[in-house]
Amino acid sequence: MTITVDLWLWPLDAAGDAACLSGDEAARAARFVRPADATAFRNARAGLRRILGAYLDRPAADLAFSYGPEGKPGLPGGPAFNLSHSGRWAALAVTAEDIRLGIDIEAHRSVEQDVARRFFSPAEIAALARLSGPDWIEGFFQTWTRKEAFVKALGRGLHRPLDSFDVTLGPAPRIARIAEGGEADWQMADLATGPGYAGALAVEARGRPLRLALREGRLPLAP
Amino acid sequence: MTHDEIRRAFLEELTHVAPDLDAATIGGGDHLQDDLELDSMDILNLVIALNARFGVAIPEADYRRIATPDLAVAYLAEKTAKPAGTGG
Repeated sequence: MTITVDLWLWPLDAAGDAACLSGDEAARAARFVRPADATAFRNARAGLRRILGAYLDRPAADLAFSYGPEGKPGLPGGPAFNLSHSGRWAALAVTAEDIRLGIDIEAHRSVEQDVARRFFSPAEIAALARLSGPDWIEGFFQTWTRKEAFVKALGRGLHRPLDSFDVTLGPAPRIARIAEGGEADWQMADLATGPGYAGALAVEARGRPLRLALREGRLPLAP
Repeated sequence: MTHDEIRRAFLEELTHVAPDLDAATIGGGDHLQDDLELDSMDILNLVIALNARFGVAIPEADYRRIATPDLAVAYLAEKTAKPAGTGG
């Protein structure tokens, strides 16, 4: 049976209605040093509540998130979801299935090549070493978003060593190796973000086919 | 290096990784991710930059020890301190 993952995209830089945020979320937004970060956080959380509230037919302000050890939010009873934001955009993946999933979008930016050399796996470093210039940047962010989507699905943040698994580089996104095994349980998809962004989704599909349904927003993302 | 020198150098590397941060507005207790909105890649860029600047390789298990400027300065001071008895 096919697993459907809904994809929602919305902009973070517009003035939004943050009335639905919890006290904790409002306090968290108020802590940001940069006003633009606070606006982006409020818009990300308000959008998350609006969308998940619609799945549950409940007011956005009524949702009570639980948090994993590394701060990954969840909803007891589902649906399963994961949120990412970068640059001007938020991306949310939602599924009715009781499975782990992670999403990551990244706006391209300058990055030290040492990040790949120090943190990626030997297979990923070797694949990236064949690229240079703008192709290297594109390959780096493709690798990064695929890895980050998997790490986010696990809810482990930076505490999962990034060299403990391999993702592929190129047109067939896949987890090629996990140190403790189980790579065949996972499926990946790239998001057609267009130039200037990269995006990927990791789903613990356990052999079931995956279908991605764009529910709001447009791909490619506007810069 | 004195603690003040370490703090200045740390803030230089931090604002290099996140160029739209203003060093003058960063508090010693500001959390890099919760208050300054650094993401995972920013943190790894910072770890690389601190390694180059201070010669300190920071393992994943120690990322919590650089979570704020105050914590990072104390951590870097500890790691760059000359062992007792070496003089200098």
